[in-house]
Amino acid sequence: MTLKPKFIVGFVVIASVLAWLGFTAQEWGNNVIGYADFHTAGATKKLCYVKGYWVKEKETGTNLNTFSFYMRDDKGEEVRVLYRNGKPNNFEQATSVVVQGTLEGDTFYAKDILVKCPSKYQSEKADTKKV
Amino acid sequence: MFIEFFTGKFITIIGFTAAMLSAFAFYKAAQSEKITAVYDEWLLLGRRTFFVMQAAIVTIGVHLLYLILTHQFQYNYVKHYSDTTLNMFYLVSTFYAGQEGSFMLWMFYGSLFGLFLMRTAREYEAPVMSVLMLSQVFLISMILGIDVPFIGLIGSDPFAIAVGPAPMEGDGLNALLQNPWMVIHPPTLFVGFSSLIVPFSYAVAAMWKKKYDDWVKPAMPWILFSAATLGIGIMMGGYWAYKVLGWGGYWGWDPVENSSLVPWLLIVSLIHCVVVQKKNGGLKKTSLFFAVLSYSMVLYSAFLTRSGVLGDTSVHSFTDLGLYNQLVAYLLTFLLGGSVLLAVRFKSIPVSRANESMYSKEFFLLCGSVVLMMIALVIAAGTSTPLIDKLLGRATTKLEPEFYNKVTLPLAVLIGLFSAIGQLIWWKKIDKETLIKTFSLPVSAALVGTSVLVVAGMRDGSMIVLALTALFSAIANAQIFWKVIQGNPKFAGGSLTHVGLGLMLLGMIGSGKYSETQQIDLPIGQSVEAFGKQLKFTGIEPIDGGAKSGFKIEVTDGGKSFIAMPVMYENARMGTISNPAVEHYLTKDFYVAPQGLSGGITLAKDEVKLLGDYAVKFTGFNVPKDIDANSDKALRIGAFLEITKGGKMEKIEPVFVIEKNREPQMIPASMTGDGIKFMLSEIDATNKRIFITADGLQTLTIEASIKPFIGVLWLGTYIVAAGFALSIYRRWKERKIVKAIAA
Repeated sequence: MTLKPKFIVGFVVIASVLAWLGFTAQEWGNNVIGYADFHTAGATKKLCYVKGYWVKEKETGTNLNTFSFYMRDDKGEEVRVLYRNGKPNNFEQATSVVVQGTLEGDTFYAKDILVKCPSKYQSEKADTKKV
Repeated sequence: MFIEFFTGKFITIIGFTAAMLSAFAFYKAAQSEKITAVYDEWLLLGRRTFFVMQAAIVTIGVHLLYLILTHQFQYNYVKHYSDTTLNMFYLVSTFYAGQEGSFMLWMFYGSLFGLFLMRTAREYEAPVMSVLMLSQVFLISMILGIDVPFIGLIGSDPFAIAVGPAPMEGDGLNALLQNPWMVIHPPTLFVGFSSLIVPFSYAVAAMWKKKYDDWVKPAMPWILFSAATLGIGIMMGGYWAYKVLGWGGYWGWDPVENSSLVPWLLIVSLIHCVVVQKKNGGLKKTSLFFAVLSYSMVLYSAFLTRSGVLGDTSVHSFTDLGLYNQLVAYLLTFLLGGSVLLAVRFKSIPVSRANESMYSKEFFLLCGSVVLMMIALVIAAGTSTPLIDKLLGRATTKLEPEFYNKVTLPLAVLIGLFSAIGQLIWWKKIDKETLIKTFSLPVSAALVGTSVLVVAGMRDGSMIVLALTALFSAIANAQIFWKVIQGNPKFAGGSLTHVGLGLMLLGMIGSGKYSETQQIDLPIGQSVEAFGKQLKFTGIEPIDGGAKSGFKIEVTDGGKSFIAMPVMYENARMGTISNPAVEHYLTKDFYVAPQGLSGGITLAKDEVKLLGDYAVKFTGFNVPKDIDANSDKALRIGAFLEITKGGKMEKIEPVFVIEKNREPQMIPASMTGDGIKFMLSEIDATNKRIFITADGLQTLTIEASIKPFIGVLWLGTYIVAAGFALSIYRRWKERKIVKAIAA
């Protein structure tokens, strides 16, 4: 039995596209991270993003290699965030912060801190409106 | 007030009306091509109203610029984006800092392209211009700022005046953006974005007039121009992030970055299809499809970044101005208009059956286009996650950058492979006999190169495969380039671009996968080893009259030594801003981003560390025996330190005083006859560690990284740009030759 080369190529192409789609779907599942508030983050203990604001009145610790601060999420819950890295640039000027990490007990262990600044694309007015 | 109205909103309304009239007149002209007298009359009206719109756009542009330059802070737009401290250069750049201004820039470019098209498009003028003017209508509607009954507010007026007394000072421009690269990056990107309307209009014109082949010739230089400017704009942004922001990388898969990459990938797909179509008339439908899709994706990007739908998932999207519905209307009109027209005409578009063989030149170009489209679609899908969540009513999710790296990797391998094989087959008359001969040189050279990389430490299988195909592509195309340039240099653009592409892929592998990063503390005056280099922080140099601090770091690397000077400064609006120092080597970059300056060291008990020339040993605490927590008396905690300098050891005890209702106090201690005061600044009770600082003995914390082959990425970028320039030149000349024959 001889197959035409065109069919073999066609079959290989379709198989590899399907394989790639499967791979993409799997990676999508592996890499998707949800936004949550501290309450849900504490319940699920999963890696997530939490958006909130720096509570300036409470203690902010800046050591050489760790940085900690209190953060209030949109629901008003306050949690201490610990970040094993230096203080992010522009932290004081941030209108809001988004932390990525896990909440264990009463400390949120941040893997990453995104600082949202009043940028070129975002006017001062809009920032205050958001807060 | 009267004059303001007549140079602002009123002119905008005139421009909007003129654009509508012009679109309609060009439409009528296109519909009555057969009757010359009617055609001429409508065409004349279309052109005249076009010039009215052009004048209106220029007038409002000059007006807004005037308001910015004269600091008229009573205008919201001027107040939000500029202040009196900015120099002329940056003041001008605040023009397009907000949504309204960037829409004005977009429509200004649109009108410039219109001007060109009216001079060069000839028989395509009427249909092409009517599509382009329809786009202008939508763009101008974004800045109308008119409240229409039952519909609501249309557009956001850049000339809106704040109620109350005019502020004395504006909010200023983001300090990170006060950089020459950032001034030219958005306008360049916008040239690319806005110019994609031209290929789209030509494609619609082709379907409208049922002439499916001629359009590619005049459209080709435009397609290349869009791809080149958009590509350069994207890379400028990357270069800025790398060299100035100190983000450590040039690409972060941020939604805003992605949404400029997607149209670019599609326009490059279009280039390949059009090349095939010009050669043998194949892929007519595919070309039309890509032309429609690429501008639709520009509009989709605009929708994502400007409608507020991305919300918090992007580091930098525009403020939501309530243009959501208008942006959706703009997108759907062009996406559905183009696709429906394609669907209606689909059956009537002739199919060329000339080449179906897998060995044909065209096969690999089609494959390349399809792979590029798959990359574009997967990125577009990933970037749309917040939108999908919103539509499904779920909680917002976001994809990690790693997702894009992983899923595009196999496709990048195919790109490398197809760009090598496709180009070899394209330029060499290949049959089955010469196949092996043609491929043997580039394949073996690529294998040798990859072996070198494996020996040098490349272990990851997928990276080895990608490096192999990237090298294959770069070498094969270099070989072709060399041949072609000896014959007719004009035709060398394609191969040159692909050489650059191969190099860019190599650069991405090196800098993306094999960069190493280390956080390093550099106490002043001390040599610290990192990455086989000796780093010594020698002092702070004031820059710009003391406004900024440059940290001088002496780097000794074998025989070579140089000063790396990263910069940090404070900005009222943005806080601490840092600029990295980058030292280029032939095969790598040494990248130093400053993290912070502190005057001290952390010590555990009996640990010895150097602070400047002083060896400091912490031997224990001096704590009062009976601590009464409720006592109002001050609590004194001392730290016993043994300090050695120049062979002389002395015991000192700096003290930390805690008292109720008072700030903690630090009592410094110093060695006899020595000016340096040591202080106990912090006590970490849980880990039994202390933090010792000393005046004049600072520690600089840096993030140092080695980025292999990143120079190859930039070199590849330059080569791609040069290749595009050559191709545009060639296609523009060809277009003229055709005209000369026709005339």
